[in-house]
Amino acid sequence: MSGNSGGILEVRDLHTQFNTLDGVVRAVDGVSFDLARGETLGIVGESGCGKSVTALSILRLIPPETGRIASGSIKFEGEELTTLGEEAMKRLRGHRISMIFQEPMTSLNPVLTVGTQIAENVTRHLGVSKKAARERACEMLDLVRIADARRRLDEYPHQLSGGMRQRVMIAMALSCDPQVLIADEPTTALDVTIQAQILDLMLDLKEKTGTAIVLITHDLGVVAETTQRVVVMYAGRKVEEAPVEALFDNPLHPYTRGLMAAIPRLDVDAPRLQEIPGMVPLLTRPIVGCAFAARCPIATERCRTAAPPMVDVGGGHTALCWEVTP
Amino acid sequence: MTAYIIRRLFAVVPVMAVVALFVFFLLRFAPGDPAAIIAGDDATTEAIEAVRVKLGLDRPVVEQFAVWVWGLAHGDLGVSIFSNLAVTRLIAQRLEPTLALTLSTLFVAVALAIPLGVVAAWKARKLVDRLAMGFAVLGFAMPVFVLAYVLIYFFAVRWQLLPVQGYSPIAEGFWPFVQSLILPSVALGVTYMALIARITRASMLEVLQQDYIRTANAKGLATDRVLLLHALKNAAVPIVTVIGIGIALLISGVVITETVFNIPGLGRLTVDAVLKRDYPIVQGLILVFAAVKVVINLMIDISYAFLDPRIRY
Repeated sequence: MSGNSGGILEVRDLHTQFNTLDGVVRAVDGVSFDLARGETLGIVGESGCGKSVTALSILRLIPPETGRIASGSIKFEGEELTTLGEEAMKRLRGHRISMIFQEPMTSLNPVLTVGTQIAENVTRHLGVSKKAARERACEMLDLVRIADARRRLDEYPHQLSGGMRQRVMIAMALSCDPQVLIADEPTTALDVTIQAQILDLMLDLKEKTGTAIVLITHDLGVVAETTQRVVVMYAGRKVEEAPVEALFDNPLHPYTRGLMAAIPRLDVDAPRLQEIPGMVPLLTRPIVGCAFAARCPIATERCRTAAPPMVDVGGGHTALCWEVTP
Repeated sequence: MTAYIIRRLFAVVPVMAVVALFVFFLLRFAPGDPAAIIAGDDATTEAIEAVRVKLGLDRPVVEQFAVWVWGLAHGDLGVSIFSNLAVTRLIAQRLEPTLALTLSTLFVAVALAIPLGVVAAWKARKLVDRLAMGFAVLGFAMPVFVLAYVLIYFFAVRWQLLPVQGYSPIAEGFWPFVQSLILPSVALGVTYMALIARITRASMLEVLQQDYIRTANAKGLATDRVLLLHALKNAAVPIVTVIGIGIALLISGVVITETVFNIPGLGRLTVDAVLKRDYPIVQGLILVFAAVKVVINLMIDISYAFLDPRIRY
């Protein structure tokens, strides 16, 4: 699946950096992955591992005052995005690549009606009349299973619940039939029952529209249920990539294993939850050797001094680790 | 909404009552005897007493107040001590120039300030921002009378593009009316523009950090739509508030500007009446100014509900 043949999005050796008072933060430090047409790819990792920054980099939404894509390549349908003009980039955003965000409470504009916010996306990119765009907005609200869609069009975000707002975000993101939908922690801020509904909805719509999804999350449960392939990120790097079954059956990287062990289980009588000891390394200093070495239970001297290789064990399963053998 | 507006209108009554009470007693306790001033410097004690009786100033203060309030309730603000003309008529005569000057100043200030503030916030910390804010600070620091005379010197005296001073009523032609207002509105508006521009910038900067602006950008919307619809509408509440507060500043500013440009408005009427201790006029003017401010406040409160659907009363 990770071959170039069906790849709609190809990210190669992406480096995104931010200037802060403490120095340059290497938020994304050499990440590569492919997204196939119609595929659901999960990107997992802890807070601050660079998964959201990767997403924002793809849409070139890194605030230019503080951050920049330092090097690497992002190709969408063969077109290089890192050097694309800003006007052309704007034509792409919300049209061919859409994004939904973690906080449905703050991601919608509080002073504009839901209908306006969906319809403006349609008029902007599809060049249809306001009336047609409003019809489309109504259709989309129906599609995301919001009851009484026509009336909801004239409501403001504060009149909707969190789950409904995230449905509106999804309706907005899919209103122009994008090829790629990037969902950055789309269910994190929602109640558990609503989380399941939103994920079901996204997968269902994916089946209908054929949109490829990049699902960014820290929740391995969500990954297991929804994705086909997974990229695990740590300290701005991709440490493991695998089809979802392979990852859960046979996690290779010690960090991935640590994450799996940290999932609370009901079938094992453990006195307390497992954790990964130690802290994520500071990203302001260049990392020598493996980024995970300081926290790794099996690290050797070599791990601390030399950067590990990306080991391919076959079947599209790779891990960035000295201790993995092909 | 309608219920809210009606409630707010009723709330105006006690506010105006307190203003009326305050105005009346403040002037009564201010130093200076109007009877003595009217009678003239050489007047005898008897002559002064005669004037006092004629004006009703010999009666108890409470009775004077009751008479005045009774008049107010009938739309009668009293009669000028010196000219014997009805105060309502004096104010009505002077209302047009002041209203025209206030509105044109408001227009100049807002039309300059909002684009300036929006652009400054958009290009924050860049050269355009620094130039815009430098211009705003300069405008704020410049006293109205200095700028007024500089403008008169160049535009009226040297280049003779606009009249030096005076006011041309709208009834005598629209173009002369506009010409007579340009210099005073610019002179008065620049200070005010600086204030609105700074608030616009600050409020816009805060809004531009919000998640929904990121959403708008992620939708690939054109920059003008993001700035002028998504951001400005959210930033509008503080801006509208400061415009309202500015109108209060403007009314006091009008006194100076009207003097410099020799415009026969309420500002000049106020200065003249205060100097002569013409109580009825001063009382009437303060009441009118207070009423204007109360109405402006009401309008600002109502505008909030239109700007932000979350505000409901």
